[in-house]
Amino acid sequence: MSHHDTKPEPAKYEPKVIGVLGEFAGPEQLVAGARAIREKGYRKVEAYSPFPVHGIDDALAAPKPILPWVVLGAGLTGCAVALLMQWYMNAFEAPFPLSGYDYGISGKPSWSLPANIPVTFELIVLFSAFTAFLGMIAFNKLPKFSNPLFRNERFTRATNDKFFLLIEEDDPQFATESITSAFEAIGAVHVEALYDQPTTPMPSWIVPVGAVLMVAGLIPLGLVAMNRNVHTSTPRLSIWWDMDYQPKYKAQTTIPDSLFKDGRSARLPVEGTVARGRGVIDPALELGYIPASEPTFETALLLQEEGTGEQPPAEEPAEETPADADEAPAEEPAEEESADQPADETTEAPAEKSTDMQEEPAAEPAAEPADEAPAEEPTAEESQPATDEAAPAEGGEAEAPAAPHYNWVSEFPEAITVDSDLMERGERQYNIYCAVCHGYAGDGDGLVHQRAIAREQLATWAPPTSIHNEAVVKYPVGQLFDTISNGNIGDWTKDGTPMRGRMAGYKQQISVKDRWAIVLYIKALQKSRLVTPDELSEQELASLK
Amino acid sequence: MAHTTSIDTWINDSTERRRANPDLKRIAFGPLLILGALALGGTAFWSSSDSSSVFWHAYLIAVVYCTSISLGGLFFVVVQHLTGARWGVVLRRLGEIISMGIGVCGLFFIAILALIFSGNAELYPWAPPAELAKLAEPKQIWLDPTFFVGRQVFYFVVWFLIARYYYTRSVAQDRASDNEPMAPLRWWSGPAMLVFALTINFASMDWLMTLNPTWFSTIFGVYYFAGCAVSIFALLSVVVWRLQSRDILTHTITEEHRHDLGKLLFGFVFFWGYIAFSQFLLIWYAAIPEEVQWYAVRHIDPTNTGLGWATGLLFLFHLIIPFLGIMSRFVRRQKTLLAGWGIYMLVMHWFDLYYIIAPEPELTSWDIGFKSIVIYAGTMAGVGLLYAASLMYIASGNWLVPVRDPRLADSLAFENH
Repeated sequence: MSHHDTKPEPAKYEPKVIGVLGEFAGPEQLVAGARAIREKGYRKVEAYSPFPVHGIDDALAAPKPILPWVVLGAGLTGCAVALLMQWYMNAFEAPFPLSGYDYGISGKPSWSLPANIPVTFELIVLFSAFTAFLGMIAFNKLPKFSNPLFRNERFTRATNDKFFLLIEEDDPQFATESITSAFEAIGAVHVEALYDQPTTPMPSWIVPVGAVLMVAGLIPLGLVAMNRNVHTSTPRLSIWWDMDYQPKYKAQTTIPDSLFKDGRSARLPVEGTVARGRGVIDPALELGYIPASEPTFETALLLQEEGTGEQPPAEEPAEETPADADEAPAEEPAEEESADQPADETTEAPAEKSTDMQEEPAAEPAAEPADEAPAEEPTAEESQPATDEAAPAEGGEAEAPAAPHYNWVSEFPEAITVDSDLMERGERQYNIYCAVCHGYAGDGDGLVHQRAIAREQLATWAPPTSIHNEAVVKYPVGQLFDTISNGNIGDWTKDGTPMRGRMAGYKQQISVKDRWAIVLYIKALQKSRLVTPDELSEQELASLK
Repeated sequence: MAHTTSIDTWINDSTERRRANPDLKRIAFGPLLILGALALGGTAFWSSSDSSSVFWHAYLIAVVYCTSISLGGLFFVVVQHLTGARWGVVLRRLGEIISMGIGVCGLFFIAILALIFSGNAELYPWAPPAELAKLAEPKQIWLDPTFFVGRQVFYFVVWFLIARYYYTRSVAQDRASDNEPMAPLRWWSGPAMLVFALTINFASMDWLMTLNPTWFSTIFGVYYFAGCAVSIFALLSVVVWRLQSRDILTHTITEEHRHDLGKLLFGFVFFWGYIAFSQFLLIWYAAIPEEVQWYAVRHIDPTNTGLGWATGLLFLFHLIIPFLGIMSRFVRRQKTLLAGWGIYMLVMHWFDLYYIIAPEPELTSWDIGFKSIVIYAGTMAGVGLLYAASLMYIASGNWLVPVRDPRLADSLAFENH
């Protein structure tokens, strides 16, 4: 190493002095030396020590670092960025791409400061910490790949037990001899001038090769970006082929060489199985109407719970499906027609809402074949579930006929005991399940409705029906029960099955008895508006005053 | 090496005084005692006709205020030993004297305990037995007057014993020839800190949380502790400024020590804000009636509380403004600026306690008429003067720095990096 130190390698190279290094024995001597050197008027002085030395900053008159101010600025920036970001994301909405999404959470205003403070705090810390760290590196001019000091053998002990002062050659008073004598005068143990070295130029191929590698490195990213933004009709690449195309039978399909003799992929239910929701025993109690034919056990099995028309028996292959899929485009005019139709007495919600039910399922089969075409099983069966839903679209073209076999029950079934307990239960259940939309008094002004109005969603919002609506008041109890169970009847299909409106059915949540209890409570609510004074007893009249 | 030189120069330095005036007992203790008693007694008498509820609230604020300063002092002393800190040795004696004030705070509390025993509902709504019976059973047990009073006695006895142990051992060291008096202090600092943490948690629940016996917050003990820590570092900054302006400890306590006091004050101001905001955020977000009621009377609806934006003001004046104000190294190294912020934080700590105590129960005492302002000021002045008199009594003639502490040399030579 030593022969590299100060002597240039090529003979013709004139080494330039870059500074004079003075070595001191201890921290006190270093501080005293630094102060003395400063007093002699030298300005470009740097100190090196194995550990932080108290007072050296003062002795060197080191300039006050501006890093704290930079960090303060970064913290304030973090604060502003965090608040702006949260405001933009959560409290601002405008009709252009990448707009924020104005969305209230947990009943708080969508722009509410307390909720934003934690993120703001974190971002202040993040910005400040990164700035402090990166700023420290930048102000120290790091990374530095080489430093002439490191070529000096004595200097290696600056990390061990020696202390150094360096006067750099750009000091206005720089002169090697006078500095050397000054250092010696103030007690430097060793003084030495440092010279630079000829540098080897960087090989010329590094820049082009580096540029090419960098561009090459962008290719995978570019491919990913491209593939996220294009459509293709070729099947996707299968890396785990046997996982994507594993041998299996899909439900509801027929396979000639099935495991089973009958060619099915799945087994039929054991004879006598009653599916959930089937097997109606007392239709007046469980359905709210008496079906046209008295239900036997077998007809009960076939009885449709949703009123979606007759389901094809499971054995039949679904041959009409492609035709159904073609029908999908016909759905649009149907929608218009039914939208124009005036609401008849059985329609709860505005007629235009009743078409919502068809819209979604009908759109699916139209889209599916395009997407799924190259898949290994482009069977029509997949779209079959939509068949029943799509069928009503046809019915929309003709006049909606009345439902012939809906023979609503007009009295409470025998199994239900109408008493004050049932009334109380009905009130409770009504307040739990119904009041959010229909309101506690049944006027259709529940919290959900108020919220929708407050958020000005009138364009898409179908207001809940008031139960005091004349048509609803006329409902037989059976129809009220059916509405609670399956949702309101928005329209009728040609074959007399109902199409359900916006309200969802609640039969999965509310037991049969509780549904009847709610019916009772609704009847009571309706009665409360229609009652005349002479129907009341003296006592009741008195209590109202 | 450096240490011996600094302690030698320190011992030979005759330009500063290091003992409190031995005549403090005569020239300060007596007058402060009389003035305090007059202020407190006068306010109590003046308010007894129609504003006794306001007086009791003012009294509780003042007593809890002084107690929090002494508890902060106790924390400062114990944590010095617990961490084996060397920088703070020159400040520790001041902390020890302040922590000894816990004794007089215990005496102040007797009046409040008597109020509870008398079944007066003006301060603690559960004090009448009929009201207590309405609470949930575990709360009835916890707030049973005998149990309650017994707990308070226990807290103050434990605190006083810890404070006294650390104080007497430290004072004995001043006259000792070896390190024997100091030797066991570090070992005991661990258990003492544990006991301190538990007792301050339950004590703050008893004094402040039960003002509304149906409300609860599990972070409340930490919230009160944060206030204690803020107040001790604020007070130390002020005391150092006052002492040095009278040529006491002018060279012993340097810019470096004051800088560290400032850092601790700054840190605990933010710690207070962090804890206060954590409590607020969780309760505000969940909005559960039994929790949010506490903030409802302090924040949500200005029309039915009169307290309005107290919570917002508290965050602004107890957190944001001092946080920005004490952030700068320059401020922390200026004696008068730091003392100014110390006074400011002492005022804000009073407001913090006022914010906790005044609106309960059901805002009976909230009315900022002239009379109640006088009552608040008079009570605080009375209790504060009595408290200050007790500190003067303890300090009188004492060394204000542990002169033979084995770590003193390190502390004297201390420098910030």
